[in-house]
Amino acid sequence: MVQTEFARILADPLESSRQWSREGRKVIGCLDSYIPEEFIHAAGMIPLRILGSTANVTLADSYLPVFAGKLARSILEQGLCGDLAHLAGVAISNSSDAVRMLYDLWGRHIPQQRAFLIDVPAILEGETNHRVFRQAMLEFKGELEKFTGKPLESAALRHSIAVFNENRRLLKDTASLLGASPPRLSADTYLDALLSGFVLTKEKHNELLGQLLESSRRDTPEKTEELTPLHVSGPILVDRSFLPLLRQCGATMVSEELGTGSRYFWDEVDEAGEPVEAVIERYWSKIPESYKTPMEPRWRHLLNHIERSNARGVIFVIEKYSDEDQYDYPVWRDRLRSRGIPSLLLDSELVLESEQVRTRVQTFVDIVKGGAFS
Amino acid sequence: MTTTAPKKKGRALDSSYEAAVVLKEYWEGASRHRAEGRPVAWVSGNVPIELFWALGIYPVYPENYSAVVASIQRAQEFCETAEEKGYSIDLCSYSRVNLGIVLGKGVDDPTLPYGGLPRPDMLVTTRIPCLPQVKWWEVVREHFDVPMFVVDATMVELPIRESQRQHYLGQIRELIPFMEQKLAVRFHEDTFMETLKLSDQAAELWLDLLDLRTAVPSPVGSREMCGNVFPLVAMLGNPRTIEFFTHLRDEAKQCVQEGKGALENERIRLGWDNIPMWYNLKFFSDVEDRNAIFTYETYLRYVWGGRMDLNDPWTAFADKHLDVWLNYSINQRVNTLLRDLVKFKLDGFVFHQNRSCKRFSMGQRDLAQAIQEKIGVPSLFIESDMADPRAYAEAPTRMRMETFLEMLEGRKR
Repeated sequence: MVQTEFARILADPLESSRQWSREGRKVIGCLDSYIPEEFIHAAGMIPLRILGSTANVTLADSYLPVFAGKLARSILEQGLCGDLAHLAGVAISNSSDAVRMLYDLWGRHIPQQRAFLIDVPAILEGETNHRVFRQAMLEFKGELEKFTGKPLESAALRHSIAVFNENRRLLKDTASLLGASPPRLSADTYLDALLSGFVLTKEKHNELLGQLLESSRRDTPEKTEELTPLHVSGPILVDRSFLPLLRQCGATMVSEELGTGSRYFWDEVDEAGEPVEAVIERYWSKIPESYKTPMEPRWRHLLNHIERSNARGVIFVIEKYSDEDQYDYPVWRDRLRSRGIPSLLLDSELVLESEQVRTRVQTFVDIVKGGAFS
Repeated sequence: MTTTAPKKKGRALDSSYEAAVVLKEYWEGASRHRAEGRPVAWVSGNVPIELFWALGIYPVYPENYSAVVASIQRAQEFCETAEEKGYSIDLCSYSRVNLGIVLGKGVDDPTLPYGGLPRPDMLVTTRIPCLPQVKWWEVVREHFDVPMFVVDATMVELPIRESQRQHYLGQIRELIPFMEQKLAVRFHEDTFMETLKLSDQAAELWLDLLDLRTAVPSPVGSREMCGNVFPLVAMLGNPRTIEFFTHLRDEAKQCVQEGKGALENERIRLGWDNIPMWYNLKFFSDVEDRNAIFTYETYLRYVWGGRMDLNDPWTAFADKHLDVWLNYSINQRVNTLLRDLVKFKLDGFVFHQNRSCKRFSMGQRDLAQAIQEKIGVPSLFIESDMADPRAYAEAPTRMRMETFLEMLEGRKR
């Protein structure tokens, strides 16, 4: 079963990339959603999303304070302890202050590994910022060409765009099954499918997603208990124990607006356009992350998902010390409240599992079910 | 270690008493401007400040206001209000103080310092010091619903690249018509150039003053200098800044010429990295009881008021605003520190791990390692916060500082 395959992959997320490396393929670790992975793919390398690790941070504490956040600290830890040594390089974009600082720290403390900086603006408005964004992307493309020693061919890029777009469409199709009635796909499987995509080649991921979609449509849905439909929002969700916990509390995720979810795959590259420009334009105009301005397109994306899925409440899973999301949360909460939609904030440090989280989720689900929210 | 040596009481420089007067004039000026119906913008650190003075838009600094609120020991109540509204205790305390005011009793609350914060007609901020600043302003915009402009920049290593300069200037060319259109003001290049001259003159005076502190004994310590810096942040382009800084510089110069120091028996010279604890500036002067003085601060030297070559004013204007500590890569911070530190003859360095300013605090371990290895200056780390006193642990911090001073004293024997 494809579900079992996803679980096997996530039991050791870096194993596939180690295998590619052993086979002589170059792998580039990507640290956020503004890395144009199509360029890496078209250059004959494999982009691998780095999402940190739940292991204890020890070495990185010598260079980053705790309040830099678990994600940045754990990625640096992975780099320092050699877990990422098989990568040919890492690509870091100018995103949150902590991630931007990782570029500097990588150069100083892991100098043997190539670090690329995609120095894009944080403000995705105005002609000047657009020009600078484009230039930063072109510079990255140029650096990749120097790194591989060959120019990035248009035909290769068109092929990569097609592969990535297919992946996006398949993920959208998969996401659309979340809220289907009767249920066609569990939220746990959806999350596993999402996360597997960051550590597989897109080709392999497309194949597995195709199998998942086929089996989900073909198989008779299991009779399941009535679960309260909720929307989940936040920059990153990698704790696979969270969605089972949600189900145990009588709810399920029917839509999401995660940085590692729909915000990552929602927007496609225009396949009719000149390929380099089309890729750049896709990243400029994609659903912005919380560390980008303006915030309104992200709000509209959130609202659209909630309305489409008929979610009755929203759980914000926000990384502790993630300033950008912490500033957004009360604004989102108040806007949702004015529409009669309740929300709950959960602090995460890549991990959510705790009795306190369970109690809070259970209380929230009870409130949503009972309609006690006003 | 000798702890009984006599030291001066009060300010080392009489001119420093003028700082409170200038600050009061600034905030009263803001209220008057507002009352007269002239435009007021809320701005943040490292915005292109000279433009505001040149255009007749009063630049109001909520960050400074938060520091003032902290210095009169009222930050906690506003931080708590912001936290009750859902803003995490882990967020910048300047912003929590401000949001506590804005979302609590409001900016007109008569119990606030200087009678309250004048309401903004516009919000202007920049990513130069940090990204959270932009997010904070988005929350403020949500409340006031006024036009907002954000000046972006990527971090620099010197010399500044032409593409970074053009990125900055391109946005300035968008900002000027935005201000003209939204606030019915008119940009005159001649006036702007005059403002730049005043700004550069103030920066020259300030840097002269800081350089005078390379003297042994140092004429003035950090506590006083943190109180003096405000006009360099908010009033560049205002003649009053020139007047004040001239007084400071001349008096410090005279002290140095006469060999008069802030301490009668200066034994240990210290550096400081990061924003001070505004609710506890006494931290700086307490060490003076141990004949130690803070005489160098990254916050006072590289965050505000760089010089400009006005033969090429637009280039200089861009470079000045990009060439600031918080916009430096870690490599650049290391290079800058190593370049400048030796002349201050420091015995030790204190790094403030400031929970509220991640941009300042990340990379500090690399700086400490570099100055230890290259110039033999040891460091102490203290963890606290610039405005929220709850993050400051008095007893352990004091004990660590005393141990550090004893160690430095031991090295001198």
